[in-house]
Amino acid sequence: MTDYTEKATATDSLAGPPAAPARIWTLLRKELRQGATSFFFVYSLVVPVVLTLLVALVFGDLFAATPRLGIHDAAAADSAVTRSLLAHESLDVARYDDEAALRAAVGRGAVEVGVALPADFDAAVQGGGDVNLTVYRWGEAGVRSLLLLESAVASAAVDALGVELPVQVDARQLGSADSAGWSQRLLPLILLMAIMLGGLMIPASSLIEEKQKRTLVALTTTPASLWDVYLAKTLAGFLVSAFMGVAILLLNDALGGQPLLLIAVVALGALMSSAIGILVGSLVDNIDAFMGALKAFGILLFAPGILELFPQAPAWIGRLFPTYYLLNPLLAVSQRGAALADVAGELAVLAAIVGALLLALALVVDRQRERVALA
Amino acid sequence: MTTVNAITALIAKDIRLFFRNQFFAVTTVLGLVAYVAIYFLLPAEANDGLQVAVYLENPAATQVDESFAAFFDYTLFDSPTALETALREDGEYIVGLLISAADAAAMSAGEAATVEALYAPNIPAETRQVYDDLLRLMVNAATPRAAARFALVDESAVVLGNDLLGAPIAVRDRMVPMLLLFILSVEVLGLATLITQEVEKGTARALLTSPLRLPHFLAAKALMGLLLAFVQLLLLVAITGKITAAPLLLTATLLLGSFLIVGVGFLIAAISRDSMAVLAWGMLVIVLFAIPAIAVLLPGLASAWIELIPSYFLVDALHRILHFGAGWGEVGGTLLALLVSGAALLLLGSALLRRRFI
Repeated sequence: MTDYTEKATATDSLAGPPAAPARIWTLLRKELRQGATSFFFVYSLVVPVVLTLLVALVFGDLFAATPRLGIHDAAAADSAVTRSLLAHESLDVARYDDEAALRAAVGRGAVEVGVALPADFDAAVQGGGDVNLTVYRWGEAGVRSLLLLESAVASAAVDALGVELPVQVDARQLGSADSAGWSQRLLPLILLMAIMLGGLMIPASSLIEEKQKRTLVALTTTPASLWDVYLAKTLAGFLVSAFMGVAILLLNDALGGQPLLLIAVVALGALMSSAIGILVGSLVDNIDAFMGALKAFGILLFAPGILELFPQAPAWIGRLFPTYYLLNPLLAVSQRGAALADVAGELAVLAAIVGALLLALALVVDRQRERVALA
Repeated sequence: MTTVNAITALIAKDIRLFFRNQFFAVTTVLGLVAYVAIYFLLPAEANDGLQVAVYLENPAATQVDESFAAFFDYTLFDSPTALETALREDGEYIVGLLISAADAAAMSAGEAATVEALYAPNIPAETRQVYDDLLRLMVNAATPRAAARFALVDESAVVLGNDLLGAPIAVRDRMVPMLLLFILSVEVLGLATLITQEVEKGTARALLTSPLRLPHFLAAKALMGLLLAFVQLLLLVAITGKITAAPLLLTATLLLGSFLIVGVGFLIAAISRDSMAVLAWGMLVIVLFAIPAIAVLLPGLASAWIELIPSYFLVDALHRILHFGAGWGEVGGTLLALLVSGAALLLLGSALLRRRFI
């Protein structure tokens, strides 16, 4: 419980007429100390990290849409086909020591196609005779994966057979190649969660608890003003939110070439999320209503992260959501090497949103102060 | 008052309390509506194929046309500009081939030629090699020399698992187990919150001073949770038409899934001091329980240890019943594991709850 009345009588900092920053600092320390034992606090710290690790642990590289191939080569030394496929850049290739293991892997879908090469594969190829090849196909594999895997195997076989192909392909990339895999596509969502969870939950849950336990009213008898309390809670959310944002960027090795700019963007986002958190906390009276609001409107906050999973989605949809103006500069700076000038417009929108939220917060605090005075 | 009457009265009271709670009332009703809407908004057909854009300067080059058709679905464009626009803006095509009249003639004759290919923007650089392989084979498919050499490779193909080639499962159908799990997740939170609040506010102790015994109290909670979860699950599979797959087996599976969730709800209530703790533990359980459902959505991706998560038994049984027509014999073992998991969690939760009352 966040009991400031105890602090007000026991600490000198609030007993006299200290400056507001000193009172806010005292309140903030208490907020962080007591909040550290709260589930919401722990959640804000743990969930983004756990999600990052879970994605890597459970799905790992397999989460990528990369076609998955298994090879068992019965020869003592790898055949040319095996060497070629193992070096393939576009495939996720696993080798198996025996055919039964390969078969089992295909059966459970760990690899979509399994190729079993006989011991005499190279000799048969060089001799120009018949070559036996057993191919296992996972029944649930998609047509696209099958087509690509079979092409890759066939292409490797063409090279091994020494077939000269008369028609060459001159391929050209339209626009810039995007090297983003699934793990990078997931990063925006996790990053958004890291920044929004702490900022939303910590100030909101703390304020709701104060209201439920009526300690907010008790605070008015101390030198700490309502503004001090609200700002301390907002700051607590801001610190956790900013810390988690930077931590997730670090964990994903996504600080990019301009870490200071990135940290500034994270800080602005953290301020937005904690301002939303304190506003929501001041508008609802119990934790169930807060969770209901989070569930009902959370999609508006996380939508840009979800849309990032689907590059085919029109870009304008994302612009409808406020967190787009946080997420897009973050991704532009961390993944596309954008400079301040490139993201200045979006940051200006984000700053305007933060300004509007702080203005709304000022109105809410004034209204709350009137209510407390009348009480 | 008989025991049955007492339990019935408790269930009725709990259901009223459940729907009086704004959070659970909103998420229960709106959640169900939203899940149904999500299901029907998603495409009914699966699209896991590969669409290639092709421009043939000489539309009469039927040999090229036919050899391409052996590889994949492709769309012919009237001009290189139209093809490039489709690649840039459509999002449906990954690669396009521009075949001049001279190229087409050379390909048919097996003579040397160089064909121009275009990759759509934002294609990950590391995936290019496999598309290069595909294009290389495709443009040489009509080459007599290559065809003759390929004929020497005797490829015997073995299909393992359920063969979905030609009949892939639509994403919305793969999502059904996940939607059902989401429903159950809210029920976990609801049931655990109800029990915790009864303990927190002392109403549970007050009730136990009446002739009502603790087992009756717990039985009423369990039945209420079972009823709420099961009815919603049944509604979802009925509205989406899934119930027709195997009505009896599906009903039994959903009932056992609801039973599992009651056990989880009891356990969470037993280890939570207040509603906030219930939410915190509940969210952890939701994340954990969702993993097997995600594995159904993205098949073949999950590690083997997800089979240790109790929700795996529910998801796996549902997946096999709904998508592969599995019967009692095929999913019997899984359903037994689901029953045992639910019973174990319920017993553990009840035992821990009992300690809070004694």
